[in-house]
Amino acid sequence: MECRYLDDVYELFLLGLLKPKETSAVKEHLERGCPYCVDHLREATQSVYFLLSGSKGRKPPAQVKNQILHSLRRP
Amino acid sequence: MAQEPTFRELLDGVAQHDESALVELYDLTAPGLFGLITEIVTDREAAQDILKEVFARLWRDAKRIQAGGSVRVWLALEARAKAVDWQRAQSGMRTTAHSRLQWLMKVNSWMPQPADIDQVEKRRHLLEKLVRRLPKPQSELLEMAVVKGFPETEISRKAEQPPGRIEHELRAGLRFLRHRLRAVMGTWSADI
Repeated sequence: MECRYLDDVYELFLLGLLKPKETSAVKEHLERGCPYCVDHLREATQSVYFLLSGSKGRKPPAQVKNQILHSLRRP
Repeated sequence: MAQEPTFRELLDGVAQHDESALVELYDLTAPGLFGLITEIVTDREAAQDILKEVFARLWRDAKRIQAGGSVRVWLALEARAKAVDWQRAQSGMRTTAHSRLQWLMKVNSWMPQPADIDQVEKRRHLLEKLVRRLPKPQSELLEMAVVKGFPETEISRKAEQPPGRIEHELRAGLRFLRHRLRAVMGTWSADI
């Protein structure tokens, strides 16, 4: 499948909402380092980041940070 | 006056296993990530566990993320992938989000760089204003697909639309956003 047919799919690929045939095509292009697909996926990732980081923040309970630090110190 | 460390400097610190860098990065990003995780996972304890796993992986994989791109992007994608997989596992569905992200991490240059994300953040207000012009049904579909991480079948049921229609509307909504992002970021050119 040529890149020009993939213009609208990079966000859906990243989100796991793409049909298997198109998913395989994107993967194949990325595996061989297709610059068009890599650039378009990077741009799509900015869009997805914009949407994901716009959700309302919620402070996690204080103990979560301590539990993370504690787990890192375990051998 | 001393400048605040950048996200890149904090990631560099985490890669050197500097706990104070991890704490600072956590303080800056955990509320946003926890907000995102709790949009997808309704079980509060599970949401906390996912947040812990995200930071534990950051500690382990910081060097690989350094080579890839923006830590803010990685954190958002990692949190979403783990939350989506947890939620789908509860319904006995296949979990593929995290393995897809792991696969992508082996591809070179696909992740936005810190400077790209700085630009998105600088222009967020304008982008949000433009995105509010999206037709409401498309905006709701994007919310369900991207932020809530619903599978297509569930979106179709909730929106009372066939899956083909959902895919068409999602593509249209994402195209709208992509074109506004290009305009706002100044990357619009004749061939796109």
